[in-house]
Formats: sequence, C-alpha cells, structure tokens
Amino acid sequence: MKTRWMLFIMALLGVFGSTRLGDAQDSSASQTGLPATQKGLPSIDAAVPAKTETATFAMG
Amino acid sequence: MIRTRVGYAGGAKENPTYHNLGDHTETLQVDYDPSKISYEKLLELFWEEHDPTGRSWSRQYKAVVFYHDEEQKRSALASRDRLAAKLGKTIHTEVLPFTHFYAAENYHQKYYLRGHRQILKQFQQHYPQALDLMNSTAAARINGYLGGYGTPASFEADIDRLGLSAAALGELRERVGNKE
Repeated sequence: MKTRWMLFIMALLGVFGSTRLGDAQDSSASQTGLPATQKGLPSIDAAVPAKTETATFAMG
Repeated sequence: MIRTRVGYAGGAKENPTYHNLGDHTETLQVDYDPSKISYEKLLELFWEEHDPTGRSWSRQYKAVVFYHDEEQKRSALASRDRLAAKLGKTIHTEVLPFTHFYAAENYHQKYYLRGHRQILKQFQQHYPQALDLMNSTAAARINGYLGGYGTPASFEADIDRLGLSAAALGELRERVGNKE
C-alpha cells in the first residue's frame, strides 16, 4: 500500500490527535467485547463513543 | 479519529488481495466520532491530500469518495463542485456509492507501528487477533505518532492511555522526540 495512505491517516491524526476520546461516552467495552480495564488493554480503546460513523476514500 | 484501516473497495471481485486485486481500488476507511469532527472536515482533508485534477490511470489507484448514505453523497458532491469552481478545473476524483470494504493484509495495517518491534510485540500481546489490533484506537494513535504526526500536547494527553509498558513507552518517547 502506498505511503500516501499513511500521509492521509497522519493528517487525520494531526487534526484529531487532540480529541480526547475520554470526553466521549464511555461504552466500557473494547472491540473484543470485554472491558479494557479487565484485560489490561489500552484504556483509550475502552473509550470508544457509542455512535461512530464511517468514511471511505481512495486517493489515487 | 477512532479507527483506521486500509483495504480494497469498489469492485466486484470477492476477497481481493494485494497481489490479486481484481477490479478493486486501494482504499482507506475511517471510523470517526461525528460529535468531534464532521464529514465535511474529512472531505476537506481528503481534497487537500491528493490531486483531484489528475486522471487515474488504473482502477487500483483511482481517486474516489465512497459515500455511505445520501447525506454523505450530498456533502461529497457539493464539496467537489465547490473545489471545481475554485480551481476552475475538471475534478476527476469520482463520487461513488460504497458497497463493500475488504481489509488489506495484516502487514499493510499500522505500517509505522509494525516497524517498532518492542511496541508491536506489546500490542500483539494485548490483541492476539490481527483484527483487534487493526481496530485499536491506541494502535492508530501510536502509528501516527511514530509517523511524526500529532502534537506534543496530544501525545502527552494520550500517553497514559495507550497501554504501553515502561520499555515500550520509552521507545515511543524516543522515536517521537527524534521527530520533533
């Protein structure tokens, strides 16, 4: 895959990096369905907001 | 930005791979919190990060906005038309309906993170399943920091929530510091 993807992802991080996911609603569940704190997983992964949306792009 | 993944979309071939892509296009998919960032802002970044006036010479490397619903379609078309008017040029980036996304092979996901064994090893202990690693917000954030993006403030705000050991944290701090 091309480096350009990484640049776009990094641009997203640059914009959203200061977004505190912890400010969002804490679902207390990781992607694997277990509370992150129980599994010792990154706490940021347990702070996924209840409502997310998806965007899909191809950059040529 | 909640999750990022790279993969293939836009084609009819089932289960494409990097070396057998069929009629698909290399694609980036982002899960985001709409209360923090708008789709319009994502579009703005998308237009900035590629040349929409350039022609695509292959399906693999086409430039496309894949819209997921009518609202995204309206926003994408409106932003495309605004850009065309601003540039006074034809926009070749397509706006197409999203149908299906196939995640790329694991070695394509979290590219920078995969270059740092100490940190990767720890994430693989957290997430033995590659799918969970791909979907980890922490992995996406670290991948970005290792790529030299993000701000010192955001890094410090995130650092205690990334689930890293002291050793892995030290490696991350060293790498991020070297890029500042």
